[in-house]
Amino acid sequence: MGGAFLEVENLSVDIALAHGDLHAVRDVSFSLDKGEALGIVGESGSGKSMTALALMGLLPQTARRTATTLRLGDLDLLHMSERTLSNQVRGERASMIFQEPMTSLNPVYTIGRQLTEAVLLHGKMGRAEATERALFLLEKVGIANAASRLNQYPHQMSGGQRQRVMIAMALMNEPELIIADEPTTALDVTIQAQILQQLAALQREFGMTMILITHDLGVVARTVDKIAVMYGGEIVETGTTSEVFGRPSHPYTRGLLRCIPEPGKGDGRTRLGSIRGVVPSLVGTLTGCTFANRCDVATDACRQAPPPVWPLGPGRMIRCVHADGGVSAAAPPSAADAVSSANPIVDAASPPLLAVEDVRCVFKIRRSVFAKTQFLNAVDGVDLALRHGEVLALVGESGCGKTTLAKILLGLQSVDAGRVMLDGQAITDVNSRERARRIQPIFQDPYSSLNPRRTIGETIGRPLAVHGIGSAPERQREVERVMALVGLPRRFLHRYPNQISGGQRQRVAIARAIIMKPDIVICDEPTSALDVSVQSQILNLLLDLRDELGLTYMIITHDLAVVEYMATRIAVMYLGQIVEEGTKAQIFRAPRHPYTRALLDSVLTIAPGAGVPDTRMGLSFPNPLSLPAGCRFHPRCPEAFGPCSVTAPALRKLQDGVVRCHLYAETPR
Amino acid sequence: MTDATQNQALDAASEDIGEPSPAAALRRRILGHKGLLTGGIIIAVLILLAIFAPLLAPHSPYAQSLPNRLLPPVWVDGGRWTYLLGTDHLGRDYLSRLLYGTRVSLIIGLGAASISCVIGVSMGICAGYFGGRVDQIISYLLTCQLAMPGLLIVTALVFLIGPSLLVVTLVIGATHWTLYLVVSRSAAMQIRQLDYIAAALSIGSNRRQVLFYEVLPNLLNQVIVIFTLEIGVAILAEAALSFLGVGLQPPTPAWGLMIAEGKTAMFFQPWLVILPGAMLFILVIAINLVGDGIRDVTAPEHRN
Repeated sequence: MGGAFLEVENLSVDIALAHGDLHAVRDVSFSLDKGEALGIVGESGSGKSMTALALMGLLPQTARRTATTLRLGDLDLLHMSERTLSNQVRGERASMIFQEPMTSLNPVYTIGRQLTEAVLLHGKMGRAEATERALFLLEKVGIANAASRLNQYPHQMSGGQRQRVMIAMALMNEPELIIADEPTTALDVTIQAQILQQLAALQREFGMTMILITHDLGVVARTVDKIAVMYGGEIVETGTTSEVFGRPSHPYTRGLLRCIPEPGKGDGRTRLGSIRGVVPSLVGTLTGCTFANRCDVATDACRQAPPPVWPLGPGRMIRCVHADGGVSAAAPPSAADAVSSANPIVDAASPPLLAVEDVRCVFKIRRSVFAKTQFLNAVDGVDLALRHGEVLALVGESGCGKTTLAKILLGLQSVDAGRVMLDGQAITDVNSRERARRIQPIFQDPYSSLNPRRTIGETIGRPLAVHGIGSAPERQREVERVMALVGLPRRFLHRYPNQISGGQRQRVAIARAIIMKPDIVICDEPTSALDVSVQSQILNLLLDLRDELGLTYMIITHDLAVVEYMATRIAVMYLGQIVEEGTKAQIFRAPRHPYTRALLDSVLTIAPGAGVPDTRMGLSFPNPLSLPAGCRFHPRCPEAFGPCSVTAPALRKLQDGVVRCHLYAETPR
Repeated sequence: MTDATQNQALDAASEDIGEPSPAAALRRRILGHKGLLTGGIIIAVLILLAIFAPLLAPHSPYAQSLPNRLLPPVWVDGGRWTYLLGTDHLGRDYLSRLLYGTRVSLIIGLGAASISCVIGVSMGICAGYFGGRVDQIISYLLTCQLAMPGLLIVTALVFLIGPSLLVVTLVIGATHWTLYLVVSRSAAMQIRQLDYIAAALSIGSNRRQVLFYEVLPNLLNQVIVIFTLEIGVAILAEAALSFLGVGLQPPTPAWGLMIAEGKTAMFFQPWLVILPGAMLFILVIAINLVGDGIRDVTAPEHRN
């Protein structure tokens, strides 16, 4: 351990709050050799970002940092002045890549200026040399036409390109340590796969040490050598990637892994595992194990004293009362947990509950009074049918029009052509109150979907009040019944949304959606704003409610793991059009459209050491404002051939689905 | 990013029973805010003075006593205990006139600020929520209002309609809505984008329900702050009008009017101007302290 390149020992961070200290990071120790990659995994509030900021000396002003050792190579980071830190360490020997590519580049300076600024600031190169290095790195991170890009501004690039620029910027000074904090969380799956692959390749090529911080177990499993699992500000388990995923020892790690839908197992009958409860408060004096209140194998000893650290081998340890992490004490999953009731059988011949017929929606975009009007074909001739009891998943990247389609179905957006039929009646003829009783939404962000000025009880009972159903006491009883159904305790009735956690807020949103007993629930990315362990709770709840209330779901998402767990049928959307539709079995076992295949390839399942798959999609990105001629996917398609760039393929009906691709044209090529 | 992490951690923290309830936390923040407390106490005292002016005033504010004209306050040479703060050029008791003047200022301040609040907030919500043509028309009105010389318009209006307490209140109210409009318009534009509006529409709420149940309550914090500030502005506007002679007419005991009447004797009897000026200053600064305090206390996350 003595020769390690980066050494952190007993690092703690406390943040002073009005009602006590928040112990954000507690007693964190790890060491890394040169060229190694460490993944720090944890849910929000686990202290993983704070750990990184503490290393770089970028903590907020109210935070206090203590440690016994904090060493990077021959530099003692612990006793270094702020001045030396900024002159000799940050941007020089250690760089950081942040999550949000939209806000971490300065919008008023060109890419070139921002790239060269760091080197010029440190006075290592002249301007010409710096520009040359910037060009070299832009090409390295996979940006086409690097020379012309230097004079562009951040808003002229897509999110994926900006993140590539951020990576290039981090590499300008040839840092020895690179810290990437959720580098791909804000990006689409296909772009995420490309960027991670690039990052891993660069890390190997330049022999950099890397710390990758993420909540996504699939990402770390495929990109790093070592893993540290954080919970409640502490590292609860460390080890090499294959050890941690192969033999997870801490009850929290095991719980997390159970929460993730496993590929090939999503038959709609197996429930996901979940970790009950919510992350505890780290404010004030902490006694015992912070995980004890959510742990399946917790004993009284867990609540009384901080858990000891058990070394399980070189560089491998767990922090738990049980020496084996309670593996032997854990009960096998009970039958009730393992199987949900059978899926309702969907009659494919029955008339659709909701039918979307050739719907088009065009937005006119005019940047200024004098600019030319641009047309954005958000939804461009979509046909879909939703039958009773189905779970239809609409999959696609951001900007493909899936959310616009959801708004159309909810009556929040008018259509320019085509129609939506609800039970054989055009939805424009159904009045909005009647429609509200049949179709209800669940939105993505539980932080913005609840009115902060209304209590939980008011929010859930609001649909009844708007429709004038029942008297006040009757409504109150109904609210309590629905709260019990979605697993909200009664004491939440009079709380405000900011007093409950994200997962609980999403339960409130679900309760509001089902209180009027709708037929159809449209879920727009229902879990993407939530932590893994909470995500599985919500997905299980949605499936249970479907069985109990006979709901039909349309789930809009980019997360194929969620799709595989929930869906019965899948429609894949690309730039406003459906490119493939089929049953879940068909899509996952024999995907037809190259885009579907690329999407499936970019799913990062937990396969330690498997590396990030190559999606072979090239570097262009979809821009709904300038659609390519011919097939809309052809610039990114690895299998594009002659007609693809000339004629747009028509939607072709096959025996078990539809596909829009020249590969499946009537006349074989 | 760290903010998000912190918020989530705090989020989880509120699960604990040890967390103070929101009401208790609010109370503690109010009691911990010195500006808010000071301003609040001053205003409370002034309101009590205004209400109980007939009981407290030693003389009638209108009773003239020419032999006792231009008496100085009691602490100056020649002052008398019967006229604590001296008398004006008609021998009226200055203390009594100041006490009654509190009534005028408070009525005009609250009245005018309420009128402008209703006008500004309703236009602002409509502009922000509906956008498009509605927003264009309302924004045009706003530009017109901002382009007009405020005091001149008010002077002209009061002159045309005829001066009275009601007219002055209405006219000041009808010309001071711009700040409300700007703030509530931009707040409504932000709120319109949020999912809880989409959720409200999806459960079948009509336009009125969305505006009054979802949008309006979320504007209240900002509106209350502007309301307090506008009370101060309205009080000063009335004083200015009265000073110019187009506001309230003599012999009404109004502070602005008292300054105007005293200005001829300003060099020899400066208290005639200083005393009503000081009252105006104290009232307006107290109101501003309360306004700032409410902003700090209700939105602690926006401080620092």
